[in-house]
Amino acid sequence: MLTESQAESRLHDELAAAASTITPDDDFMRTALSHHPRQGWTRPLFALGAVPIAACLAIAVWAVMSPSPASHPAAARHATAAHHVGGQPAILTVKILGRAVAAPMGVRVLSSSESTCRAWLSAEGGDMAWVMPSAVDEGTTPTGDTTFGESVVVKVPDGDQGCIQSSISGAYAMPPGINHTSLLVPTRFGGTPTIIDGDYAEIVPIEIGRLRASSETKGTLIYVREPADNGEFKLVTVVGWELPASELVDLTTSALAG
Amino acid sequence: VFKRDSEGVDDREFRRFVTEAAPILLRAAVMMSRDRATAEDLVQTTFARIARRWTSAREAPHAYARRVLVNLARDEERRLSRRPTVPASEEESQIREHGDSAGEIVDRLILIDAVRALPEPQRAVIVVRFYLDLSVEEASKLLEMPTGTIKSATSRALAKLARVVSPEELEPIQGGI
Repeated sequence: MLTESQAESRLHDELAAAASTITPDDDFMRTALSHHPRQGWTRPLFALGAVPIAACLAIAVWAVMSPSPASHPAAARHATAAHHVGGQPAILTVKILGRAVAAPMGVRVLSSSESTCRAWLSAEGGDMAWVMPSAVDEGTTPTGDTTFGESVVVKVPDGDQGCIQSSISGAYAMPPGINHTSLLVPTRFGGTPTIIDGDYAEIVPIEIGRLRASSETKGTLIYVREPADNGEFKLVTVVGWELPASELVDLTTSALAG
Repeated sequence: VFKRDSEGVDDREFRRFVTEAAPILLRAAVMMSRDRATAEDLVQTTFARIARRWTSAREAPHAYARRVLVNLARDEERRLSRRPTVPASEEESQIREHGDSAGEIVDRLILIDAVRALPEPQRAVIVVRFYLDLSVEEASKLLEMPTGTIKSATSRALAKLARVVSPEELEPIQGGI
């Protein structure tokens, strides 16, 4: 019988051997290398739309203003509604193909996975869109306010494939003066309130630039406010393209009901 | 309009870091995730975040990347814990390409699956300690758990993995670590 230290050593060796069989493929590496180091969020974020490849869809991004920014996601999760600056709620916007969209306040997305989009981009950085500072990435607004939040990475479609990407935020308290049926996306920007799986939701038509082509494809962005504990909410975000909005709604309903 | 420097020092350093870190992070992510697609997403998100914080992350990018990845993976797991599991099959095909004997292939598949089947936080503890090579103290910091919890999680996980790693030699493991 092995001693415990021998057992640990054995596990170490066997795990290394097992893991060595997992290798990044070329597409994965091209995408990984397409990221470019930056010095802060203020410089490049909204310039993504100026990148020649007009494929940058920017969705779903929530930044929160806080007098004491969290430097770690765990801390950030507990600092949910701290988004006031000088006593006034800070209103942030993101641009979706040139459209200014009010970013939900008090929200941060904790994950951006569960995507069926397999076409990770392989061209220059900027093909893949992310916006706003991450929860671990404190930033500073042009007016000097500290921000933090999480971003969603959106995979731009390659070809005509249907594609769905979803994420769910951490629990957050609704900001003062805003209730759970307040519109996230103003009607003039296409926000349409509805109910999905019994929860308040909005459906927003979007257009997404297509990789390696000048055309755009129709897509749908769905927000669902899902009740969490203690009167808080989680924001479910689902993005889909090359499929009818009704189908995306059905899929979202199924996912939430499941 | 912001214009990115073309292949400046930061770019070169970042590319070197990505090239070195990608295989390590991907392997760790695969072991901590339910499928390879999710693992790839987590690693790409990790790189995206590091790119945005390169000025500060460049001092210790590997440590920063480990922290971001582990946090993302654990958040993802918590989120998916109420959803059905989709078994992954891609690792299997990749491993087959490796040319090892059938027995070795099966053993490795079983080991990775066994690690994936561990409950949190045992899975994260095993990956960061025995794949990422962190000490108990380093794992404690990274996972934000007391060292005692790291040790007990390691002990419990080893007991479960013993059946996979070497049933005739490792079972039973006695005592704490």
